[in-house]
Amino acid sequence: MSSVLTKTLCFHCNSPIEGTPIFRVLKGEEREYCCNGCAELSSMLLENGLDRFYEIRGGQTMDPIRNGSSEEGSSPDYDNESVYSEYLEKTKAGYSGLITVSGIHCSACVWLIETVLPKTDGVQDARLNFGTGRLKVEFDPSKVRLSSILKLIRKLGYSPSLYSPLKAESKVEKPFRDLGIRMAVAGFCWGNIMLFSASLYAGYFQGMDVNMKNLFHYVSWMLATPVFFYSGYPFWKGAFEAWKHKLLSMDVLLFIGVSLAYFYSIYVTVSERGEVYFDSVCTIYFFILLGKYLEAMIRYKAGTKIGELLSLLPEEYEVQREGTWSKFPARNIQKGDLVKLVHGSKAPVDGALKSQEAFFDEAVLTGESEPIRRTAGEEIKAGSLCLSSDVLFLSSGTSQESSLAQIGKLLEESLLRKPKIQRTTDRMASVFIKIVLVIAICTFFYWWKFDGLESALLNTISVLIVACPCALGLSVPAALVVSHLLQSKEGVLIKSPETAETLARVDRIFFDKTGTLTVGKLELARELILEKAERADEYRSIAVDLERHSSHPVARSFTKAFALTSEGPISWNSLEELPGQGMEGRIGDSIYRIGNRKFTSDSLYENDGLIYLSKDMRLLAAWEFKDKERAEAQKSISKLRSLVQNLEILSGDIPAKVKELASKLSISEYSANLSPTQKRDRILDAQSQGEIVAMVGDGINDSACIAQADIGISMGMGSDLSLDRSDIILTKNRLDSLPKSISIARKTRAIIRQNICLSLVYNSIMIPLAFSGLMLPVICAGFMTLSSFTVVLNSVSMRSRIQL
Amino acid sequence: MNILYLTIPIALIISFGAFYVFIINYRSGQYEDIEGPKYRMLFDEENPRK
Repeated sequence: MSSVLTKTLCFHCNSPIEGTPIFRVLKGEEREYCCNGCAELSSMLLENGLDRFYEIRGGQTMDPIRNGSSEEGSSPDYDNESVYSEYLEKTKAGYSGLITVSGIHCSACVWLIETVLPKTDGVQDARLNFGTGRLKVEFDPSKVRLSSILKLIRKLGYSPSLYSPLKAESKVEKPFRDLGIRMAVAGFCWGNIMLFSASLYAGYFQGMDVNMKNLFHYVSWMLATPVFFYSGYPFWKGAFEAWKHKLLSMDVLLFIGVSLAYFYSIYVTVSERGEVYFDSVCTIYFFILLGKYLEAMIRYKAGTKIGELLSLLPEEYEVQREGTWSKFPARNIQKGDLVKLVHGSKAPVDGALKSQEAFFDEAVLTGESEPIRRTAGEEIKAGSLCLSSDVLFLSSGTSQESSLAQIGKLLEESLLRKPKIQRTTDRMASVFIKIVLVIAICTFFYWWKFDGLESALLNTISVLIVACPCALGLSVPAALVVSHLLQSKEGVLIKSPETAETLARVDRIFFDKTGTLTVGKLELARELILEKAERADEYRSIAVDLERHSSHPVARSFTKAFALTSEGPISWNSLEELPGQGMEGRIGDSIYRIGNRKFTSDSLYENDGLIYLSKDMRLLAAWEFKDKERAEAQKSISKLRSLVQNLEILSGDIPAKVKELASKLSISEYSANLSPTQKRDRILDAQSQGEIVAMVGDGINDSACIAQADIGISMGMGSDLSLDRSDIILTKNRLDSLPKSISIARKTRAIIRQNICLSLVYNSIMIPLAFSGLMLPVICAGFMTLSSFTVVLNSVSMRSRIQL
Repeated sequence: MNILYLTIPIALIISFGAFYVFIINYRSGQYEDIEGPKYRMLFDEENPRK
């Protein structure tokens, strides 16, 4: 084997090869690969004359393909009418659809997809957007199916997911674009108006022809008008909203200040006396819209990312109604229908089992990690994952009536009741506004007393204009954009920007156990060889071969654990599965049994959760399968402890297991055997103590808690319902993102506070000037630009001021 | 300096015209993918798009 001193690079992905390379002779040259996935793809490319991929890639390193990035398990059914109608648009030649492709790293990837796809019969066009990673495909459904297009993309080593333009367009995209245009108008007018303003400033100091000055005033008026009415529309709305609720928000102060500046300047222009503030109108609105735009951009990006994570495909089921079998989407199933479930599909409605027996994974509903055996007549709850194949059950209602839909309703209630944690800006703003109003009133009366009504009005107006902190609009978004970039690098997706602020103040984190602190899959924990240790390999291959024929879910974990060690199939004379006990196989006159202890040895022992293998009732070996804690759990929890005071486990699992994990991770507070409702009550209880609570979970059973907690966090591989309800998603599906995320959030909060203070300090310097009647537009403009610049600089410096 | 009475309106008309064109482009989605074209020009296309 090659020496490990100089790591060879994989021919396909250019990353250093760990372990032994895979050799393939392609096109007369021997090449080395890091994994089967890379080798497969590379040979496909070279055989089809797509060598140019490597020229375009150049020296860039990509992610290894590993082994067929398509995950095991069920691929959802894409080729049904409901998917086509929801995700695709009809065109002249067939359908066109958007597919989000993740795993794009360079131009070679784009070239590959855009070259290979159109070569497929039936695909007319494929165009990939670099920025968003969205692929627009046009295809003819009579020649090629949607699922085969997705399969092809997967084969090329990328992971595709369907993107529904309808859903996204309506919710996020349109307001976002709208805001973009408002900002562009403000920016354009601001740029132009500054030309005329600069001339006016010069004119103020050097003297200026009256007619020329008037012309410049009118031009400025013309440029400020679209900004005030069109770009300022969100502020009109915000101010009126706040007015209705009798609130003093920042929008109100901005709106009052800008409106006064605008109308006072019109008065000046028409009456031909004094100075205009039209440029301030544009500056304030432009900078604040810029801030709002940046914030909307984060929201929009997070929104599309979540769209990629959710695989809310309308599923179809085989249903027997009035004696005939047909396919229906889940929402059309009625009471009394006979529904067929295949391995890996979820029960769409509540019902009663018709088949003799079947195994279900009800983790999503109960948090129980073990598969549950159901026999004929027992109730099946919607959302249970079917682990056996071809299971029949009788529907007892529609999907709207199912227990899953009830959970959904419960969630909506929780979300409504979620306490709103006020943003720091709003709190500081309301204090600031009150102070400004008091100063304005003082100004008015002071000048009224000494200099008559007109100068009183004039000076009051200039106080209000000056107090309008333009940098404030930028101070929060600028910090949030930087923080968002840092967070997403760490694999944390924050849905709405204001969540970051709450995250920084969390005092208690609740953890779900299964799938959050643990991997959520059964893995081999122990192996005991009870007789003739040297024959262990033989025992394993017998056991694997027996389990291969079993329909019990644990058998799957078993065969996976020993997939590499198993030899060829054994020729059994007979094989039999005894439900709930195990498998029995005969070779010649010896009987092998695998299963629980009672079944395998006929002893009086109690079953202890281990899987035993026996020959003629003599135990040979035993294996224990456990749901292990995540590899990074220990480290992450100890880091979190230094950041957050209280950590607590809430689990639906049995006390013994929870206790074992809690002591391993040294988490002192834990409770077990909780139903989803009890979990939520515990969270409510903590909230009523005045704590700010975060909940980390992954399943539907946690979604009620995720919705109730001040911050709901879900693992990236969680269920759709919990992803949909959470505020934060750990996209890398790793726990260690969480402590980093909290540190970033705390730094962000500190920087936001500094920014607000800075911008208020700038404005406070100018208020005394305005009070004494010395306020000039030129000073106003200078201070505004300077303060915005300071705030942005302070935000950008976050990256270097944080240690992760 | 009287020429300014003529040149300023002209300048404004031209710049507003240019801005209007920008808005049309923005709405039609020309700024959706600003990364792609610079790479695409390097791919030699075997099947040029119509």
